[in-house]
Amino acid sequence: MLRISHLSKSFGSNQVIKDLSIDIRQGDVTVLLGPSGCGKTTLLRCIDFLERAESGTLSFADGGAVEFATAAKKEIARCRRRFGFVFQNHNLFSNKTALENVTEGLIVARRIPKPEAVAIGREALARVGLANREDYYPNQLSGGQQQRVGIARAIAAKPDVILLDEPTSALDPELTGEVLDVMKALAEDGVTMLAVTHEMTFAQDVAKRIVFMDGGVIIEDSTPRAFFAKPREERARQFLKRLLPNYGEYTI
Amino acid sequence: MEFTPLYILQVIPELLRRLGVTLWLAAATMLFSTLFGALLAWAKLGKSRVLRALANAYTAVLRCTPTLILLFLCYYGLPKAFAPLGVDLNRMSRFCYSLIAFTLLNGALMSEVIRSTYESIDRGQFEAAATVGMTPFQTLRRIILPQGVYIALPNLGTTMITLLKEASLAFTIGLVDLMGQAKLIISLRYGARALETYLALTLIYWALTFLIARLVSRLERAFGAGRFERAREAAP
Ligand SMILES: Nc1ncnc2c1ncn2[C@@H]1O[C@H](COP(=O)(O)OP(=O)(O)OP(=O)(O)O)[C@@H](O)[C@H]1O
Ligand SMILES: [Mg+2]
Repeated sequence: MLRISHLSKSFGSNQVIKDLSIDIRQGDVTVLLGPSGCGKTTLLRCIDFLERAESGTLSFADGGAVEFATAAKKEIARCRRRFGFVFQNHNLFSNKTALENVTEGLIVARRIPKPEAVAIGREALARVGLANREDYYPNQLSGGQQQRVGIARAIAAKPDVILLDEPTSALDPELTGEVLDVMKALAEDGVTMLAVTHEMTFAQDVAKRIVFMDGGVIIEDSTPRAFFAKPREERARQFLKRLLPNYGEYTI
Repeated sequence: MEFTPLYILQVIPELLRRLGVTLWLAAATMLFSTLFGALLAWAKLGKSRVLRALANAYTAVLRCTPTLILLFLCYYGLPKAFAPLGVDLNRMSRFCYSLIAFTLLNGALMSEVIRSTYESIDRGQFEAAATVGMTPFQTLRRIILPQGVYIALPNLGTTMITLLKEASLAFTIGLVDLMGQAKLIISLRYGARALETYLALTLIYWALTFLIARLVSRLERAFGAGRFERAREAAP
Protein backbone atom coordinates (compact mmCIF):
# COMPACT_ATOMS: atom_id res chain seq x y z
CA MET A 1 0.00 0.00 0.00
CA LEU A 2 2.86 2.29 0.73
CA ARG A 3 6.57 2.02 0.82
CA ILE A 4 9.27 3.91 2.62
CA SER A 5 12.64 3.45 1.07
CA HIS A 6 16.14 4.50 2.05
CA LEU A 7 15.05 6.80 4.84
CA SER A 8 17.87 8.52 6.73
CA LYS A 9 17.61 11.04 9.51
CA SER A 10 20.27 12.65 11.71
CA PHE A 11 20.15 15.05 14.59
CA GLY A 12 23.41 16.94 14.24
CA SER A 13 26.08 14.28 13.97
CA ASN A 14 23.85 11.61 15.51
CA GLN A 15 22.44 9.49 12.72
CA VAL A 16 19.22 8.09 14.14
CA ILE A 17 17.67 6.39 11.11
CA LYS A 18 20.04 4.70 8.71
CA ASP A 19 18.90 3.97 5.20
CA LEU A 20 15.76 2.26 6.43
CA SER A 21 13.17 0.74 4.12
CA ILE A 22 9.79 -0.69 5.01
CA ASP A 23 6.60 -1.69 3.21
CA ILE A 24 3.22 -1.23 4.80
CA ARG A 25 0.55 -3.57 3.51
CA GLN A 26 -3.12 -2.75 3.60
CA GLY A 27 -4.92 -4.11 6.65
CA ASP A 28 -1.70 -5.04 8.42
CA VAL A 29 -1.12 -4.26 12.03
CA THR A 30 2.61 -3.78 12.33
CA VAL A 31 4.18 -3.43 15.74
CA LEU A 32 7.51 -1.67 15.85
CA LEU A 33 9.75 -2.85 18.67
CA GLY A 34 13.19 -1.87 19.75
CA PRO A 35 15.25 -0.62 22.66
CA SER A 36 14.84 2.92 23.91
CA GLY A 37 16.54 5.47 21.70
CA CYS A 38 16.73 3.23 18.65
CA GLY A 39 14.71 5.66 16.56
CA LYS A 40 11.13 4.35 16.66
CA THR A 41 9.57 7.71 17.42
CA THR A 42 11.83 9.42 14.93
CA LEU A 43 10.79 6.97 12.21
CA LEU A 44 7.08 7.61 12.76
CA ARG A 45 7.65 11.36 12.92
CA CYS A 46 9.64 11.33 9.68
CA ILE A 47 6.90 9.38 7.92
CA ASP A 48 4.33 12.06 8.84
CA PHE A 49 6.79 14.91 8.12
CA LEU A 50 6.97 16.04 11.73
CA GLU A 51 10.72 15.69 11.26
CA ARG A 52 12.50 16.34 7.99
CA ALA A 53 14.49 13.32 6.89
CA GLU A 54 17.67 13.92 4.87
CA SER A 55 16.86 11.31 2.32
CA GLY A 56 14.34 8.67 1.43
CA THR A 57 11.24 8.22 -0.65
CA LEU A 58 7.65 7.70 0.29
CA SER A 59 5.74 5.93 -2.47
CA PHE A 60 2.17 4.80 -2.72
CA ALA A 61 0.76 1.77 -4.44
CA ASP A 62 -1.81 3.89 -6.25
CA GLY A 63 0.97 5.90 -7.83
CA GLY A 64 2.90 8.90 -6.74
CA ALA A 65 6.09 9.22 -4.78
CA VAL A 66 7.51 11.95 -2.62
CA GLU A 67 11.07 12.70 -1.57
CA PHE A 68 11.19 13.18 2.20
CA ALA A 69 13.96 15.73 1.99
CA THR A 70 12.50 18.02 -0.63
CA ALA A 71 8.71 17.63 -0.43
CA ALA A 72 6.94 20.96 -0.80
CA LYS A 73 4.18 22.12 1.52
CA LYS A 74 1.45 20.94 -0.82
CA GLU A 75 2.96 17.50 -1.21
CA ILE A 76 3.36 17.21 2.55
CA ALA A 77 -0.28 18.16 3.03
CA ARG A 78 -1.32 15.54 0.48
CA CYS A 79 0.79 12.85 2.16
CA ARG A 80 -0.52 13.72 5.60
CA ARG A 81 -4.05 12.97 4.45
CA ARG A 82 -2.99 9.36 4.19
CA PHE A 83 -1.85 9.18 7.79
CA GLY A 84 -3.40 9.53 11.19
CA PHE A 85 -1.06 10.13 14.10
CA VAL A 86 -1.64 9.13 17.71
CA PHE A 87 0.80 10.75 20.11
CA GLN A 88 2.20 9.33 23.30
CA ASN A 89 0.56 12.08 25.35
CA HIS A 90 -2.46 12.59 23.10
CA ASN A 91 -1.79 16.29 22.34
CA LEU A 92 -5.48 17.11 22.34
CA PHE A 93 -6.48 20.73 21.75
CA SER A 94 -7.26 21.82 25.29
CA ASN A 95 -9.66 24.59 24.24
CA LYS A 96 -11.81 22.21 22.22
CA THR A 97 -14.33 19.58 23.29
CA ALA A 98 -13.86 15.92 22.45
CA LEU A 99 -16.08 16.29 19.39
CA GLU A 100 -14.39 19.52 18.28
CA ASN A 101 -11.01 17.86 18.62
CA VAL A 102 -12.14 15.33 16.05
CA THR A 103 -13.96 17.72 13.72
CA GLU A 104 -11.46 20.61 13.80
CA GLY A 105 -9.19 19.15 11.15
CA LEU A 106 -12.13 17.96 9.05
CA ILE A 107 -13.71 21.41 8.98
CA VAL A 108 -10.64 23.62 8.85
CA ALA A 109 -8.23 21.55 6.79
CA ARG A 110 -10.44 19.24 4.75
CA ARG A 111 -13.19 21.83 4.32
CA ILE A 112 -15.92 19.32 5.05
CA PRO A 113 -19.21 21.12 5.81
CA LYS A 114 -19.85 21.29 9.53
CA PRO A 115 -22.94 19.05 9.78
CA GLU A 116 -21.15 16.35 7.84
CA ALA A 117 -18.00 16.75 9.92
CA VAL A 118 -20.02 16.49 13.11
CA ALA A 119 -21.60 13.28 11.87
CA ILE A 120 -18.16 11.86 11.05
CA GLY A 121 -16.86 13.03 14.43
CA ARG A 122 -19.73 11.39 16.31
CA GLU A 123 -19.14 8.16 14.46
CA ALA A 124 -15.42 8.26 15.29
CA LEU A 125 -16.14 8.92 18.96
CA ALA A 126 -18.62 6.05 18.99
CA ARG A 127 -15.95 3.76 17.58
CA VAL A 128 -13.70 4.51 20.53
CA GLY A 129 -16.59 4.15 22.98
CA LEU A 130 -16.97 7.84 23.81
CA ALA A 131 -20.30 8.68 22.22
CA ASN A 132 -21.50 10.08 25.54
CA ARG A 133 -18.49 12.33 26.09
CA GLU A 134 -18.58 14.54 23.01
CA ASP A 135 -19.06 17.81 24.92
CA TYR A 136 -16.32 17.15 27.46
CA TYR A 137 -13.13 19.14 27.38
CA PRO A 138 -9.87 17.19 27.53
CA ASN A 139 -9.25 18.05 31.18
CA GLN A 140 -12.65 16.62 32.09
CA LEU A 141 -11.65 13.25 30.68
CA SER A 142 -9.53 10.49 32.18
CA GLY A 143 -6.16 9.70 30.61
CA GLY A 144 -7.56 6.67 28.84
CA GLN A 145 -10.49 8.65 27.49
CA GLN A 146 -8.16 11.43 26.31
CA GLN A 147 -6.09 8.94 24.40
CA ARG A 148 -9.22 7.44 22.87
CA VAL A 149 -10.24 10.88 21.66
CA GLY A 150 -6.73 11.12 20.21
CA ILE A 151 -7.38 7.89 18.33
CA ALA A 152 -10.80 9.11 17.18
CA ARG A 153 -9.14 12.26 15.82
CA ALA A 154 -6.60 10.14 13.94
CA ILE A 155 -9.13 7.77 12.37
CA ALA A 156 -11.88 10.29 11.61
CA ALA A 157 -10.72 11.18 8.11
CA LYS A 158 -10.24 7.50 7.24
CA PRO A 159 -6.53 7.70 6.50
CA ASP A 160 -4.70 4.82 4.87
CA VAL A 161 -2.45 4.19 7.86
CA ILE A 162 -2.64 5.10 11.54
CA LEU A 163 0.75 5.76 13.13
CA LEU A 164 0.73 5.22 16.87
CA ASP A 165 3.66 6.18 19.09
CA GLU A 166 3.41 4.35 22.40
CA PRO A 167 -0.25 5.26 22.84
CA THR A 168 -0.48 3.64 26.25
CA SER A 169 2.87 4.30 27.85
CA ALA A 170 1.87 7.62 29.42
CA LEU A 171 -1.17 6.03 31.04
CA ASP A 172 -1.73 4.52 34.45
CA PRO A 173 -1.60 0.73 34.11
CA GLU A 174 -5.31 0.32 34.84
CA LEU A 175 -6.17 2.64 31.92
CA THR A 176 -4.11 0.93 29.23
CA GLY A 177 -6.68 -1.81 28.74
CA GLU A 178 -9.41 0.42 27.35
CA VAL A 179 -7.03 1.97 24.81
CA LEU A 180 -5.66 -1.41 23.73
CA ASP A 181 -9.22 -2.68 23.34
CA VAL A 182 -9.97 0.20 20.98
CA MET A 183 -6.82 -0.55 18.97
CA LYS A 184 -7.77 -4.20 18.83
CA ALA A 185 -11.27 -3.38 17.59
CA LEU A 186 -9.78 -1.17 14.88
CA ALA A 187 -7.46 -3.96 13.86
CA GLU A 188 -10.41 -6.30 13.56
CA ASP A 189 -12.11 -3.74 11.33
CA GLY A 190 -9.12 -3.91 9.03
CA VAL A 191 -7.59 -0.54 9.87
CA THR A 192 -3.94 -0.44 8.84
CA MET A 193 -1.68 0.46 11.73
CA LEU A 194 1.99 1.01 12.41
CA ALA A 195 2.32 1.06 16.16
CA VAL A 196 5.19 1.48 18.56
CA THR A 197 4.19 -0.21 21.78
CA HIS A 198 5.71 -2.11 24.62
CA GLU A 199 2.45 -3.95 25.28
CA MET A 200 3.60 -7.44 24.50
CA THR A 201 0.18 -9.05 24.69
CA PHE A 202 -1.01 -6.64 22.00
CA ALA A 203 2.05 -7.45 19.91
CA GLN A 204 1.49 -11.16 20.33
CA ASP A 205 -2.27 -11.30 19.88
CA VAL A 206 -3.16 -8.46 17.54
CA ALA A 207 -0.13 -7.71 15.40
CA LYS A 208 0.25 -9.39 12.02
CA ARG A 209 3.84 -8.41 11.83
CA ILE A 210 6.66 -7.48 14.18
CA VAL A 211 9.41 -5.15 13.06
CA PHE A 212 12.38 -5.03 15.37
CA MET A 213 14.68 -2.04 15.13
CA ASP A 214 18.01 -1.26 16.66
CA GLY A 215 20.51 1.48 15.94
CA GLY A 216 18.30 3.04 13.29
CA VAL A 217 17.93 -0.04 11.11
CA ILE A 218 15.42 -2.87 10.94
CA ILE A 219 17.15 -6.02 12.05
CA GLU A 220 14.20 -8.35 12.11
CA ASP A 221 10.87 -8.38 10.29
CA SER A 222 8.65 -11.38 10.93
CA THR A 223 5.36 -12.65 12.27
CA PRO A 224 4.63 -12.40 16.01
CA ARG A 225 4.62 -16.16 16.21
CA ALA A 226 8.07 -16.52 14.74
CA PHE A 227 9.43 -13.50 16.55
CA PHE A 228 8.27 -14.43 20.02
CA ALA A 229 9.12 -18.09 19.59
CA LYS A 230 12.70 -17.45 18.62
CA PRO A 231 14.06 -14.21 17.28
CA ARG A 232 16.90 -14.74 14.90
CA GLU A 233 18.94 -11.90 16.31
CA GLU A 234 20.70 -11.93 19.63
CA ARG A 235 19.79 -8.26 20.20
CA ALA A 236 16.10 -9.08 19.83
CA ARG A 237 16.46 -11.95 22.28
CA GLN A 238 18.06 -9.64 24.81
CA PHE A 239 15.27 -7.15 24.28
CA LEU A 240 12.57 -9.75 24.88
CA LYS A 241 14.32 -11.06 27.94
CA ARG A 242 14.14 -7.62 29.49
CA LEU A 243 10.48 -7.07 28.63
CA LEU A 244 9.21 -10.53 29.42
CA PRO A 245 10.82 -11.68 32.66
CA ASN A 246 9.86 -15.32 32.15
CA TYR A 247 10.69 -15.20 28.47
CA GLY A 248 13.17 -18.06 28.24
CA GLU A 249 10.90 -20.40 30.14
CA TYR A 250 7.96 -20.86 27.85
CA THR A 251 9.74 -20.62 24.55
CA ILE A 252 11.81 -23.70 25.03
CA MET B 1 -8.64 76.33 54.24
CA GLU B 2 -11.02 73.79 55.68
CA PHE B 3 -11.32 70.29 54.20
CA THR B 4 -14.67 70.06 52.36
CA PRO B 5 -15.70 66.48 51.55
CA LEU B 6 -18.61 67.68 49.44
CA TYR B 7 -16.19 69.36 47.05
CA ILE B 8 -14.84 65.93 46.13
CA LEU B 9 -18.16 65.08 44.54
CA GLN B 10 -18.51 68.47 42.93
CA VAL B 11 -15.16 68.29 41.18
CA ILE B 12 -15.64 64.82 39.76
CA PRO B 13 -17.75 65.90 36.75
CA GLU B 14 -15.21 68.57 35.96
CA LEU B 15 -12.41 66.02 36.00
CA LEU B 16 -14.40 63.53 33.95
CA ARG B 17 -14.47 65.94 31.04
CA ARG B 18 -10.94 64.69 30.34
CA LEU B 19 -11.69 61.03 30.95
CA GLY B 20 -11.73 60.47 27.21
CA VAL B 21 -8.11 61.54 26.81
CA THR B 22 -6.95 59.13 29.51
CA LEU B 23 -8.96 56.25 28.08
CA TRP B 24 -7.94 56.91 24.49
CA LEU B 25 -4.30 57.13 25.46
CA ALA B 26 -4.48 53.86 27.39
CA ALA B 27 -6.44 52.06 24.69
CA ALA B 28 -4.27 53.27 21.81
CA THR B 29 -1.12 52.46 23.75
CA MET B 30 -2.44 49.00 24.49
CA LEU B 31 -3.23 48.41 20.83
CA PHE B 32 0.09 49.63 19.46
CA SER B 33 2.17 48.03 22.17
CA THR B 34 0.46 44.70 21.55
CA LEU B 35 1.39 44.92 17.88
CA PHE B 36 4.91 46.11 18.68
CA GLY B 37 5.22 43.50 21.43
CA ALA B 38 4.11 40.75 19.05
CA LEU B 39 6.82 41.86 16.63
CA LEU B 40 9.45 41.80 19.38
CA ALA B 41 8.22 38.42 20.62
CA TRP B 42 8.40 37.08 17.08
CA ALA B 43 12.02 38.24 16.93
CA LYS B 44 12.79 36.69 20.30
CA LEU B 45 11.29 33.35 19.33
CA GLY B 46 12.72 33.34 15.84
CA LYS B 47 15.80 31.70 14.43
CA SER B 48 17.79 34.82 13.65
CA ARG B 49 20.39 35.42 16.32
CA VAL B 50 20.77 39.07 15.45
CA LEU B 51 17.06 39.79 15.75
CA ARG B 52 16.85 37.83 18.97
CA ALA B 53 19.76 39.75 20.49
CA LEU B 54 18.33 43.08 19.35
CA ALA B 55 14.88 42.35 20.76
CA ASN B 56 16.30 41.16 24.06
CA ALA B 57 18.59 44.16 24.36
CA TYR B 58 15.73 46.52 23.57
CA THR B 59 13.56 44.93 26.25
CA ALA B 60 16.34 45.07 28.83
CA VAL B 61 17.11 48.72 28.15
CA LEU B 62 13.49 49.85 28.18
CA ARG B 63 12.79 47.97 31.38
CA CYS B 64 15.57 49.90 33.07
CA THR B 65 14.35 53.29 31.93
CA PRO B 66 12.10 55.19 34.34
CA THR B 67 8.82 56.01 32.64
CA LEU B 68 9.03 59.72 33.39
CA ILE B 69 12.51 59.98 31.92
CA LEU B 70 11.45 58.06 28.82
CA LEU B 71 8.57 60.48 28.38
CA PHE B 72 10.95 63.47 28.52
CA LEU B 73 13.44 61.77 26.23
CA CYS B 74 10.72 61.33 23.63
CA TYR B 75 9.33 64.81 24.05
CA TYR B 76 12.66 66.60 23.81
CA GLY B 77 14.63 64.02 21.87
CA LEU B 78 12.38 62.97 18.99
CA PRO B 79 12.13 66.42 17.34
CA LYS B 80 15.94 66.71 17.51
CA ALA B 81 16.43 63.23 16.17
CA PHE B 82 14.08 63.73 13.27
CA ALA B 83 15.09 67.29 12.39
CA PRO B 84 18.13 66.22 10.29
CA LEU B 85 15.79 64.00 8.27
CA GLY B 86 13.72 67.02 7.42
CA VAL B 87 10.79 65.88 9.54
CA ASP B 88 9.39 68.58 11.76
CA LEU B 89 7.90 67.06 14.87
CA ASN B 90 7.53 70.29 16.77
CA ARG B 91 3.86 70.46 15.96
CA MET B 92 3.12 66.88 16.88
CA SER B 93 0.53 66.74 19.63
CA ARG B 94 1.42 65.94 23.21
CA PHE B 95 -0.97 63.05 22.94
CA CYS B 96 1.21 61.57 20.19
CA TYR B 97 4.39 62.01 22.20
CA SER B 98 2.75 60.30 25.14
CA LEU B 99 1.48 57.50 22.91
CA ILE B 100 4.95 56.95 21.45
CA ALA B 101 6.69 56.95 24.82
CA PHE B 102 4.23 54.58 26.45
CA THR B 103 4.16 52.30 23.42
CA LEU B 104 7.95 52.04 23.41
CA LEU B 105 7.91 51.00 27.04
CA ASN B 106 4.79 48.89 27.03
CA GLY B 107 5.79 47.10 23.85
CA ALA B 108 8.82 45.75 25.70
CA LEU B 109 6.61 44.53 28.54
CA MET B 110 4.03 43.07 26.16
CA SER B 111 6.71 41.21 24.23
CA GLU B 112 7.59 39.35 27.42
CA VAL B 113 3.94 38.55 28.11
CA ILE B 114 3.49 37.25 24.58
CA ARG B 115 6.75 35.31 24.51
CA SER B 116 6.17 33.56 27.83
CA THR B 117 2.58 32.75 26.88
CA TYR B 118 3.62 31.27 23.57
CA GLU B 119 6.28 29.18 25.26
CA SER B 120 3.85 27.92 27.88
CA ILE B 121 1.58 26.36 25.27
CA ASP B 122 2.43 22.75 24.63
CA ARG B 123 4.14 22.39 21.24
CA GLY B 124 2.48 19.04 20.85
CA GLN B 125 -0.77 20.73 19.91
CA PHE B 126 1.00 22.41 16.99
CA GLU B 127 2.13 19.01 15.77
CA ALA B 128 -1.26 17.42 16.33
CA ALA B 129 -2.83 20.19 14.27
CA ALA B 130 -0.28 19.60 11.52
CA THR B 131 -1.09 15.90 11.41
CA VAL B 132 -4.78 16.64 10.82
CA GLY B 133 -3.78 18.97 8.00
CA MET B 134 -4.09 22.39 9.58
CA THR B 135 -1.71 25.11 8.44
CA PRO B 136 0.45 26.95 11.00
CA PHE B 137 -1.73 30.03 10.60
CA GLN B 138 -4.95 28.10 11.16
CA THR B 139 -3.39 26.51 14.22
CA LEU B 140 -2.29 29.85 15.58
CA ARG B 141 -5.70 31.39 15.14
CA ARG B 142 -7.93 28.54 16.26
CA ILE B 143 -5.84 26.65 18.81
CA ILE B 144 -2.92 28.68 20.08
CA LEU B 145 -4.35 32.20 20.28
CA PRO B 146 -7.53 31.32 22.21
CA GLN B 147 -5.44 29.41 24.74
CA GLY B 148 -2.83 32.14 24.76
CA VAL B 149 -5.32 34.90 25.46
CA TYR B 150 -6.63 32.92 28.38
CA ILE B 151 -3.17 32.26 29.78
CA ALA B 152 -2.04 35.84 29.23
CA LEU B 153 -5.14 37.54 30.60
CA PRO B 154 -4.04 37.94 34.22
CA ASN B 155 -0.73 39.36 32.98
CA LEU B 156 -2.51 41.56 30.46
CA GLY B 157 -4.81 42.87 33.16
CA THR B 158 -1.88 43.83 35.36
CA THR B 159 -0.11 45.46 32.41
CA MET B 160 -3.24 47.40 31.50
CA ILE B 161 -3.79 48.68 35.02
CA THR B 162 -0.15 49.68 35.41
CA LEU B 163 -0.30 51.47 32.09
CA LEU B 164 -3.48 53.33 33.01
CA LYS B 165 -1.84 54.62 36.16
CA GLU B 166 1.54 55.41 34.62
CA ALA B 167 -0.12 57.26 31.78
CA SER B 168 -1.05 59.93 34.32
CA LEU B 169 2.59 61.03 34.07
CA ALA B 170 1.81 62.54 30.69
CA PHE B 171 0.66 65.73 32.38
CA THR B 172 4.35 66.52 32.84
CA ILE B 173 4.69 67.23 29.13
CA GLY B 174 1.48 69.19 29.18
CA LEU B 175 -1.11 66.63 28.17
CA VAL B 176 -4.46 67.48 29.70
CA ASP B 177 -5.81 64.09 30.64
CA LEU B 178 -7.50 63.33 33.98
CA MET B 179 -4.34 64.22 35.86
CA GLY B 180 -3.67 67.27 33.72
CA GLN B 181 -7.21 68.43 34.29
CA ALA B 182 -6.79 68.06 38.06
CA LYS B 183 -3.60 70.14 37.91
CA LEU B 184 -5.40 72.75 35.85
CA ILE B 185 -8.38 72.99 38.17
CA ILE B 186 -6.11 73.37 41.16
CA SER B 187 -4.00 76.06 39.60
CA LEU B 188 -7.11 77.97 38.48
CA ARG B 189 -8.06 78.07 42.15
CA TYR B 190 -4.57 79.17 43.12
CA GLY B 191 -3.85 75.90 44.85
CA ALA B 192 -7.02 75.76 46.82
CA ARG B 193 -8.79 72.45 47.45
CA ALA B 194 -5.89 70.45 46.12
CA LEU B 195 -6.50 67.58 48.54
CA GLU B 196 -10.19 67.26 47.60
CA THR B 197 -9.33 67.32 43.90
CA TYR B 198 -6.71 64.59 44.25
CA LEU B 199 -9.08 62.49 46.33
CA ALA B 200 -11.69 62.82 43.59
CA LEU B 201 -9.04 61.80 41.07
CA THR B 202 -8.14 58.80 43.20
CA LEU B 203 -11.77 57.70 43.24
CA ILE B 204 -11.90 57.90 39.46
CA TYR B 205 -8.75 55.81 39.06
CA TRP B 206 -10.07 53.27 41.54
CA ALA B 207 -13.28 52.96 39.57
CA LEU B 208 -11.38 52.57 36.28
CA THR B 209 -9.08 49.95 37.73
CA PHE B 210 -12.04 48.10 39.17
CA LEU B 211 -13.75 48.09 35.79
CA ILE B 212 -10.67 46.76 34.04
CA ALA B 213 -10.33 43.99 36.58
CA ARG B 214 -13.97 43.07 36.05
CA LEU B 215 -13.56 43.08 32.30
CA VAL B 216 -10.52 40.82 32.54
CA SER B 217 -12.28 38.26 34.70
CA ARG B 218 -15.24 38.29 32.29
CA LEU B 219 -12.87 37.62 29.43
CA GLU B 220 -11.16 34.89 31.41
CA ARG B 221 -14.47 33.16 31.73
CA ALA B 222 -15.18 33.51 28.03
CA PHE B 223 -11.79 32.19 26.93
CA GLY B 224 -11.50 29.63 29.70
CA ALA B 225 -14.05 27.20 28.32
CA GLY B 226 -13.03 23.76 29.40
CA ARG B 227 -10.94 25.07 32.24
CA PHE B 228 -13.63 26.74 34.27
CA GLU B 229 -15.98 23.83 33.81
CA ARG B 230 -13.58 21.50 35.52
CA ALA B 231 -15.99 21.36 38.43
CA ARG B 232 -18.71 19.84 36.28
CA GLU B 233 -19.53 16.22 37.02
CA ALA B 234 -16.35 14.20 36.85
CA ALA B 235 -16.52 11.56 34.19
CA PRO B 236 -16.83 8.07 35.62
N1 LIG C 1 14.65 16.55 18.44
C1 LIG C 1 15.77 15.84 18.65
N2 LIG C 1 16.97 16.46 18.69
C2 LIG C 1 18.10 15.74 18.88
N3 LIG C 1 18.14 14.41 19.07
C3 LIG C 1 17.00 13.73 19.04
C4 LIG C 1 15.75 14.40 18.84
N4 LIG C 1 14.76 13.49 18.86
C5 LIG C 1 15.36 12.31 19.07
N5 LIG C 1 16.70 12.44 19.17
C6 LIG C 1 17.66 11.36 19.36
O1 LIG C 1 17.37 10.36 18.44
C7 LIG C 1 17.52 9.08 18.99
C8 LIG C 1 16.27 8.27 18.77
O2 LIG C 1 15.20 8.85 19.47
P1 LIG C 1 13.74 8.28 19.40
O3 LIG C 1 12.89 9.15 20.22
O4 LIG C 1 13.35 8.09 17.98
O5 LIG C 1 13.88 6.87 20.08
P2 LIG C 1 12.77 5.83 20.47
O6 LIG C 1 13.14 4.57 19.80
O7 LIG C 1 11.42 6.38 20.18
O8 LIG C 1 12.98 5.66 22.02
P3 LIG C 1 11.90 5.42 23.18
O9 LIG C 1 11.58 3.97 23.17
O10 LIG C 1 12.65 5.81 24.42
O11 LIG C 1 10.73 6.30 22.90
C9 LIG C 1 17.88 9.28 20.44
O12 LIG C 1 19.26 9.11 20.57
C10 LIG C 1 17.52 10.70 20.71
O13 LIG C 1 18.40 11.26 21.63
MG1 LIG D 1 9.75 6.98 21.39
